[in-house]
Amino acid sequence: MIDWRLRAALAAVAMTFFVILPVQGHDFWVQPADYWVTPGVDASFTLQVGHGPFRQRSLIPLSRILRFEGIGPQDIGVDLRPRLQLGGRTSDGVTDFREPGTYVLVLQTDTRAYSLLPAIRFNDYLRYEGLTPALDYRERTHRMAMDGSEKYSRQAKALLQVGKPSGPQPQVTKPLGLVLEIVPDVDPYATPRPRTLPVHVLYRGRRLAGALVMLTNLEHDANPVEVHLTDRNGEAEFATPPSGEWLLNVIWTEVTPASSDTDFETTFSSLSFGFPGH
Amino acid sequence: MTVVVAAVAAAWVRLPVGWTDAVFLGCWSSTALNSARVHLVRSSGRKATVLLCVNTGIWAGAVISVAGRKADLLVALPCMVTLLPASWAVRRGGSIAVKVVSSWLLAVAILAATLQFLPVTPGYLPDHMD
Repeated sequence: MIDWRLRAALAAVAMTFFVILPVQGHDFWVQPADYWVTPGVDASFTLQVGHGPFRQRSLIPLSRILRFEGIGPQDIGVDLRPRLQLGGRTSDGVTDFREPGTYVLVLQTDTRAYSLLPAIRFNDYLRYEGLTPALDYRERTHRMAMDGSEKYSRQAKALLQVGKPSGPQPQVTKPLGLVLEIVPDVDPYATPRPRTLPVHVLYRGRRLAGALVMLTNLEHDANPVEVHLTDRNGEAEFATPPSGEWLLNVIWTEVTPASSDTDFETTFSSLSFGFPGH
Repeated sequence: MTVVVAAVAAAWVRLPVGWTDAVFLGCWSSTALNSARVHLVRSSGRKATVLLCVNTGIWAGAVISVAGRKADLLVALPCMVTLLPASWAVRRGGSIAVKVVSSWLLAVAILAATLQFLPVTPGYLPDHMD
């Protein structure tokens, strides 16, 4: 209870000295306790949001989660919504895949999340996340000094390796129908491990150029370690991390119709993965 | 002494947790009132001064009651010694320094009191957490 009030007081002090608070990441992702698990053994996971000092378990209610599936080697989606135990003491759910292979955990929410930010902070957020079309729109329509409102959704994928990697896992490199999706062009868990991790970004099924894709080390997640703009084919390439837990994320937004009660509809997409022995 | 007695007494009163927001608002409003009071040309009378002291002590104690521990009184009460250099400065003709600091405190208090009423996500809270 006291925490935000203390921050309020510090923020008030900071504002009187014209101090600008830093912009933080705004991502949401599925975080398995271990990305590499034994077949048939319970593997817990949490839903996480925010970065650095603001990272926390997501408080999203079950009613907002439209899809939560595990897509495995047989390429059949297993509905995992019944396995969600949101707000559990140590986890938000448990999986227990018996068949070895790489499973893609896919989560989609509705667009009922809402954000209203003061103009300066909204513009900073757009710049930080590379949402230049939205910035251009605000400049063009002389709205740079106005508060910015959005409705937004989350689209998250996580790569869970059950047992040892064996053979090609096409489900990893195939689009899974998310509104905004990071699709790896190689399987980061393949043996031998690929040196680079090329990805492409899809928005409503089409390749998206000019989107900012960030790679963040989830063990030191205040800032991304590698950032690339997708090229005209919607592609970007990263160095494959040698170890640890990682997050690729991208955000895209579009102007809503004049009848809408928000300025933009934004989609946050993530792909989390990790390697054993971190 | 009036402030100390009022603060200690208020800290011992058990207030409902639901009053927390109102208590913080009252505390910041009280801070703003005291800071603004410095700018009055005329000195307030003895009664008004005692009332201001009681008001200050009650809000300080109330904040400790709803959101702190009684041991916080040991941290809050020594802050009273800031009155010593302030009164020393006023006696030496340096009241402008006290007014400058009070103006800054007034700005902080007004900001802190009003931030919670903003419809937008204020700067001290992370955004896009749903």
